[in-house]
Amino acid sequence: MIIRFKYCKKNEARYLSHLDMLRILSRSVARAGIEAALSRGFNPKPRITLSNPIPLGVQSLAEYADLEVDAYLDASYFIKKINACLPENITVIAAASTESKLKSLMSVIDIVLYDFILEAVQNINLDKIKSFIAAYDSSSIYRFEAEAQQKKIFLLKIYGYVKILKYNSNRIFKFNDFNIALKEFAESNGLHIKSSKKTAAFIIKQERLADPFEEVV
Amino acid sequence: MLDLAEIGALLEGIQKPGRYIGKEFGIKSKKPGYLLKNPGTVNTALVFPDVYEVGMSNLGLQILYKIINSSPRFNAERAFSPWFDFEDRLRKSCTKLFSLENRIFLDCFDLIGFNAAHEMLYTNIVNAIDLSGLAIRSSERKSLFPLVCCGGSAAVNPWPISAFMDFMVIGDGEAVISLILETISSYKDKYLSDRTSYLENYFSLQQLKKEMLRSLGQLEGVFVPSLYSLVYNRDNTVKKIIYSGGKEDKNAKKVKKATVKDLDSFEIPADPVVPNIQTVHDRLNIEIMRGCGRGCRFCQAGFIYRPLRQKKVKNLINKSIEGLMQTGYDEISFTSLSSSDYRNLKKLIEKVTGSDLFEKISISLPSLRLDSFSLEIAEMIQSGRKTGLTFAPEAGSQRLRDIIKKDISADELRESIRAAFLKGWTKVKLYFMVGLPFETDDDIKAIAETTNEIIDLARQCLDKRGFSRLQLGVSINAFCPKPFTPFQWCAQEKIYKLEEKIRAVRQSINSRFVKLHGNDPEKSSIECAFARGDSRLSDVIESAWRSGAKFDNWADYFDYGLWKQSFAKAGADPDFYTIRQYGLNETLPWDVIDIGIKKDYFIKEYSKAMQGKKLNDNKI
Ligand code: SF4
Repeated sequence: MIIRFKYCKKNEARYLSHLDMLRILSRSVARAGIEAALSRGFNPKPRITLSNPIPLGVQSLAEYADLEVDAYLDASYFIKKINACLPENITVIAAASTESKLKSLMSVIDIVLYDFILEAVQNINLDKIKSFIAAYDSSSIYRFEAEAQQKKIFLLKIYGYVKILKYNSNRIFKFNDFNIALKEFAESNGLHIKSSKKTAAFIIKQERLADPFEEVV
Repeated sequence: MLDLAEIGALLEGIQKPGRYIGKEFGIKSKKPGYLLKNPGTVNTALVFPDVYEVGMSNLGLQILYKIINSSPRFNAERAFSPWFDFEDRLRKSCTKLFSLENRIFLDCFDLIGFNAAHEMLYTNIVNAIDLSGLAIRSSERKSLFPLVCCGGSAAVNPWPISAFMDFMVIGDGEAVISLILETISSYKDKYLSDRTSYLENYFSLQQLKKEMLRSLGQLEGVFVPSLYSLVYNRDNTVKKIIYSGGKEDKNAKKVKKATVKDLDSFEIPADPVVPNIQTVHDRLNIEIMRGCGRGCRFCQAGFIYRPLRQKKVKNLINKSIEGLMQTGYDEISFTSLSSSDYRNLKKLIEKVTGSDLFEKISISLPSLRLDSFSLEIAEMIQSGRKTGLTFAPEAGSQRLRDIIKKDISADELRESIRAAFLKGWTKVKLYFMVGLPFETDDDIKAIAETTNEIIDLARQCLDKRGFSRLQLGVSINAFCPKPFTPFQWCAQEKIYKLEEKIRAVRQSINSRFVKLHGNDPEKSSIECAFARGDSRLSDVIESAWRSGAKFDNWADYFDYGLWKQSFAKAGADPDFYTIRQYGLNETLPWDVIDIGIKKDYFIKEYSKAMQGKKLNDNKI
C-alpha cells in the first residue's frame, strides 16, 4: 500500500535539498521501524518519492511524499512514529493510505502556492503591488492574490505552475526569478520581503484546485 | 549566539548551506536554557578542521561528543572548517566561527579541541583559531578561557603545532577527557567564585591559568607546550629537551601516552549524530578493535595505537544492530587497522548478515588482508554485489616486503587474487609505496611486474564478459618516514626521484586495464617535514597560513611553491626534516613522548631491516 504524507520543513531545514530530504526521510522511516517496500537491485532502497523540488533556502509548509509499504500501515500510527524519528524542523502533518496505485506526485502536481509577506516602510498602494505581479510573466502564474493584512503589512499569494500543461500554453513559475524581480520592485518602492514560503500544492481538476490527498481514496 | 535570521542572512548564496546548520538527528548538546541556568557547565567545542562532510565521517569526534555530553556538568558542541565562500562571508561580516548546535561563537567556549588527524590539517587548525577571534599563538592568549588543545595522530610529535596549543592530548582521548574537563571545571569554579578580582588583577589571572595548565600537565597523555622547550645544537639537531614544570626535574619529564585498557568499558556509540547532508563515509561506523599487532616497519598507526585491543563480539553484534535501527543507516562499516585480525570476525559477520536487517543494508570492511580467510569474509558481506576488494602489498618484491615486514608472500598474493577472480570479483585495488628504505630499481620494476601478472591472472580466470569489466586500481604513494616507527630515522627520497619512480611504474604497466592513483610526492614531502618536525616549524605553519595556505589535504588547494617560500621565510630548511638521515644517537624532538615502546626496540627493528637487506643482497 501507499502512504501519501504531507510534511513541512521549517527554519534551518530550508537549507536541505531534494536529495537530502530523500535520504533523511528514508532513514527516518527505517528508524521508526516502518517496513518500507524496497527497490530491486543490489542496493535496495526504500520506495519513497517526493513532490517537486523547491529552491534551497525556501521554507515549506506543504511538501508531499509517497511511501510504499508491504504490509498494512495505519496513517495516524505512521504520523506518530515518524515524527519521533525526524530531525528537528521537519514534521509530518497529514497522511492517508491507499491500496490502489497512485500517479507520482511530480506528475500530478500542477500548481505550487508561495506566500510572500511584504513590509512597507512608507505608505504604498496595494494596487501598485498588484500591477507589479500582473505585469510579471503572467503565463507562469495561474492566479495571485494580494491583500493588506495590517497597515503596512501585505500578503501575496502566488499560485505558480510547476508543470507545462498541454492544453494551456503556460510556462513554469521559477521562484528564484520571481523573488529577484520582487526584491527589486520592493526596494524601489520602500518595501521589503519579510518572509516567503511554500504553503500549498495543488492538482488542477476541472478548473478547480484540488489537494493531492484527494487522489488517495 | 547567532539567531535564525542572522544565520539566514549569512547563508545567502553560500554553497552547501547544509554544512552549517546542525539540527541533525542524534544531537546531544545541552539546550541554551540549561546552559544559562548552569553557568558552571564546562563547554567544549569539538572541531574537526576540515569541511563538515569529512569531519562527520570521523569516529573519534562522535565518541568524544557522546562521552562529554553524557555528563550533566559538561557540554560539547561541534564545529568544522568553513569552506572558502563561507569563510569569506564570516570575515567580511566580522562574524566569528560558531558551533553548529547552539551557534555559540568559539571564543565563548571553555575549551576548543581540535582533531589533528593528519599533518595536512595544521593550517586549517590555525585558521579556525583565527576565525574564532583568538590570537593564534597560545602565548598571546591572555584570557583564562578558551583553552585550545588538539589530539590525534598528528599530535604524537607535538612540536610543529605546539606554539598554537595550550595543551595536547597524546593517545586515546576517551582515557583522559573526563579528567581534563574535571580539572578545567575546578579552575572555572575558582574563577567564577572570585571573578571581579581576577578580572581586575591581571597577574593573578595569569597565575591561575598557569596553575591550571600545570595541573593539566600532570594528567596522563597531556603535553603542555609552555612547560617544555627544545634547545638546539649548532647543526640544528636537538641538544636537549627542557622541562620547566617542576623544580626537581633535571631531565625532561616524558609524557606518557594515555591508553584505554579495556575498550569495552566505553559504550559503543550506537546513536551517533546522523548527518542531514551527504558525507564522505555516510554510514554507521563501528570500531571493532584498536591497535595492530603486526608491526609493519613503515606504519605509524601500527605502533602508536598499541596495544591491540579487541572488543567483545557480543557487544559488537548488539550495538551494530541497535545502531542500524537507531540511525536508519543502510550501511555499516566495521573499522580497525587490520580487520582480518579480529578474532571473532567470522562470528560477527555471520550474525549481522544473518539478521533481518541484512536485506536492506550493506557492510563494508576496510583493511582486509589478502588471504583465503578474508576472501571468505568478503564473499559473505558482498553476496551478489561484489563491490570491490582492496589489498595493500605495499612493496612490489618479496625482498622489500620482508624488509618492511609486510608479511604477504608472493604466492599468497597470487593465489588470493586468482581465487578472487574465480569467485567473480572484477574490481580490485592495490596499494604500493615508492621510496621505501633500501629500495632498488628492481623493487620498482616489481610493482609493474606484479600488476601485469595480475592482469594475466584476470585474463586466465575471468570469462570474456568478466575480463571486459576488469577494473584494476593501483595506488602508488611516496613513503614518508614517521615518528615512532623503526624507519623514523630514514631519509625520505628526493621529490624528483619519487616522481621518476612513479613515472617508471606508469610506463611499464599495461595501462589499458589499470587506473593509477596516488598522492603527490610534493605533498608527501611537506607531510614528512611536519611529521618529523621540531618547534621551529610553528613559524613555518604560521607563515604559510598568513600567505593563504589552507585545505592542504585537498589536491586543488595544496600549493608546494607557497610552502617552500614559507620555509624560507621562517628560516627553516625542509630538506633537514625530509631527505636527511637522522642519527641514531640524536635526540629526537618526539623523544619527549613516551609512546609505550622503547627506542631500543625501534633501533633493533631498524637493524633487522638493514640485515634483511644484506642477506638478500648476498643471495642475488
Ligand atoms: S600496515 Fe596495517 S597490518 Fe601493518 S602494522 Fe600498519 S595497520 Fe597493522
